[in-house]
Amino acid sequence: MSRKLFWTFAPAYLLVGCIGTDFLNETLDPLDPYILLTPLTEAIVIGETVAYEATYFDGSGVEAPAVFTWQVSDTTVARLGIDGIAAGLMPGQTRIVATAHGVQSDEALLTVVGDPNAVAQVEVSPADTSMTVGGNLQFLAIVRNVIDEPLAGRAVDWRSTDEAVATIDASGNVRGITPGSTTIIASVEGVDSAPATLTVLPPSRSGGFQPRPGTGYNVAGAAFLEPRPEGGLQLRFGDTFVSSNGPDLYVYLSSASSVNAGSLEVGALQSTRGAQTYVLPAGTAISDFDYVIIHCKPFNVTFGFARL
Amino acid sequence: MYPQRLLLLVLLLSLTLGDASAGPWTQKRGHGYYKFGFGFVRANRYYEPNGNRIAIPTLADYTFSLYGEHGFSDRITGVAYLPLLQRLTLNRQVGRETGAEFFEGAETTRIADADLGVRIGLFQIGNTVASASLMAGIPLGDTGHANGLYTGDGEFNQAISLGIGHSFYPAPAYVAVQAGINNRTKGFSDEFRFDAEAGYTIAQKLTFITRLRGLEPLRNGDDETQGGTGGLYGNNQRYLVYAFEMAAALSDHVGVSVSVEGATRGQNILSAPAYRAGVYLRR
Repeated sequence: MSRKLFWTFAPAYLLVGCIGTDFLNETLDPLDPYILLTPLTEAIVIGETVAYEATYFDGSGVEAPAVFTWQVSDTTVARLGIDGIAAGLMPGQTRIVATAHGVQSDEALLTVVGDPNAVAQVEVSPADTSMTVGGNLQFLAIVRNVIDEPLAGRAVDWRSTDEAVATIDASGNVRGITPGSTTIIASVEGVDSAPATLTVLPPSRSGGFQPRPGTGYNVAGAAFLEPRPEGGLQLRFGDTFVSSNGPDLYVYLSSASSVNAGSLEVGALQSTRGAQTYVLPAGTAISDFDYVIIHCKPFNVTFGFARL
Repeated sequence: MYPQRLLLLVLLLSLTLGDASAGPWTQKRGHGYYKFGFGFVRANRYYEPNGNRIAIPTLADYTFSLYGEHGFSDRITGVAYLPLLQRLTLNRQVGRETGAEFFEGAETTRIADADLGVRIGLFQIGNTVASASLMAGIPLGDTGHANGLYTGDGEFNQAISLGIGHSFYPAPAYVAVQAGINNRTKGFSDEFRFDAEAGYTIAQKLTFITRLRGLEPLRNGDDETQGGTGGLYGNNQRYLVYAFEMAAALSDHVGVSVSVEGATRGQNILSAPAYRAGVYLRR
């Protein structure tokens, strides 16, 4: 009898169904090959040298071998060898780039001074940032000599390379005019700072939902990414929003039309139809993401998305 | 009254029936059989509502069940299907490249929806029998799991079907067909269900069965009603599945069966083979 019981309930011993782990092939943001050049800003006295280093990274973000070609914009200010070592010739500023596999590095700004106490470095803060149309942003300039000692009381000339996008006054206060990109440069006694990239964003962004291609699920309506009166950002769906129903549907913000490691989980979908609003975490910028995604989280199935 | 030899064959065949969609034969008064079954599915494919087959995180379903038939009279048989324990797991999801965790995984172990009903013998002409079945779905399962791992649909459904079976006695073979309507409530679409099967017994011990089973939704429900993750107790499911089964009689009262079932097409269902095994006792 005991033998029969054993075999009768043998399947019960198989009740060991544990949660396993599935590894998903992720949709990663495409990466362009690039060259990392250091240092990007440097100041030396005439006769001194500085060694530049360049590293090439391929489309997978992996360091790869490369033979670099070096270029200097003003050969009267500095001489640059094929080994990437620059020597100061006369006071002034010049730009240095490295090229390999058809890829050019960012420009490195080299300042050469004759007097060690002269202005040699101007640093702009914030370096790279964004703002919305109609907004104001204060820039600051830090002035140093060649040995990094701060120099106070120097007059700063500010300029924006595209005043149709943003203007800047004599005190460094920027005003966003139209969506676009410009650079802010501070100049002290003829020495320019490295350019600070400023992106001016529209006050809000919007897009229309569409089903994920090939799927039978339906998602339609509009999404709006916009400022909240209290500060910060909110994601709002319009009255005509509608989505197929599904278990555990979530709203994501993403840089691509699918959920990936860099996506922001906004929260559970409040309703499959009609207007709804989601408050975004503090620090979320209006330019951080380009897609709003309706996604079945446990099943890893995207129902649809809106491109902002 | 069935001829004794035909009844023996029918009893042998009936042990293979793994769920409430049993064949058209009724049990003799006071007789019956009881089956303890185990079935499992591990799916990493899913038929979307439009019929596309897509990759999904692994969803596993392990179900232990009791199935019983009891002859209240020669024409009326009580039928019960009770899934004692249904365990569902949905795998944790990790990005292959970044190692980021997209979903922490989920599980549940609950009793599931049951079926109770009767089968009524209508007539017998020679070796051909016909019966009608009325089954009621009892919503014992869970419909509140946060990740959609439902073990029920939360509604009382009523299914009525007609079945015809024919034995080729003295050849040890049979065929059977059944069709019926499942009336679902709470926004679920009604369903037309049908199946056909054929079996052949070797040496009165070993029976081989092939079966075709289909479901067509009438799409008269609410599209917002959708059931659980991966079509678990879902709405507007559609499928055509085939099954192969083998049953072995170990004695006059005890037997075992194993089967595998797969879909030829589907909508809102998992796409993976379903395996079942069972042990029956009959008297």
